[in-house]
Amino acid sequence: VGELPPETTASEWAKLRRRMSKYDWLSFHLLGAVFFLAGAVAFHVLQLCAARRERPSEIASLLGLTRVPELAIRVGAVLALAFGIWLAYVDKEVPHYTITDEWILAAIGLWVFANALGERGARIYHEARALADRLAVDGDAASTQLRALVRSPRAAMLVWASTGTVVAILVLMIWKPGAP
Amino acid sequence: MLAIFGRPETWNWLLMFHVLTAFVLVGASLVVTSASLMAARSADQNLVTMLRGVAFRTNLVLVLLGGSLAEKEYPDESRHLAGSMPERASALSQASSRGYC
Repeated sequence: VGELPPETTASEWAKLRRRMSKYDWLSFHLLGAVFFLAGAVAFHVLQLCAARRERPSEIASLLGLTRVPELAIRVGAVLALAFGIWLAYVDKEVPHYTITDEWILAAIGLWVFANALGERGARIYHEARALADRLAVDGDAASTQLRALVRSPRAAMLVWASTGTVVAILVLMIWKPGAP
Repeated sequence: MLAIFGRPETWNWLLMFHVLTAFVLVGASLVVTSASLMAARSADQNLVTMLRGVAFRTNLVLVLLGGSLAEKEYPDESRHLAGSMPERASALSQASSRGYC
């Protein structure tokens, strides 16, 4: 079986586009939003549990579990943005919404801001995870440096502000201020 | 889909609450599953106890709470919040004319 000629691929793509309704595109956008915000909830739960622990092995385990929600956040952020822009682009399928609407531009700006905040906050927790892993194999004794990293007010403020910004995007998506 | 495309403005708060609690439910389920799986694989008894405690408390507080709140999408009582029947009928007809439903 050889490669399809380009015109066949383009025609398949056109057929797929015709078959996909606005609800199908919307479901991918919503799936991304679920991954994004549910991942943030899971991250916060694990981060709060880790902040209450003293033993490095326990902190390492809890912060190690945050890898799954972090992946969900990354995948969800990309899916929500990509399919959100696509939904606004195919304006003949979703009438009245265009990519230049103020509420859509504001949501994209907030998306960038939320990811920048989350990335900076997560960097401190990654540092804490690496230190906890080292201490866990090296006697598993409580450490003030690890405690300071896990309970860092700066890291907590950054990740909570990031989640707050994503909730603001959700508010924009539901109320759609200025949309007809 | 009607809740997303063809809803009256007064339902926005209900949808927001429903969506947020659904996110809490999914996120907390993720924590319960991953903590339980890690506890099942761990050989350290203290770690197993701690992880099972995290899974149990998350399940008790967030999964059950989030689940019970998220399932209340539009109960019968929502008509009191959502305005009169003519208002809802008008919203549906507007949505229909825009091709939303």
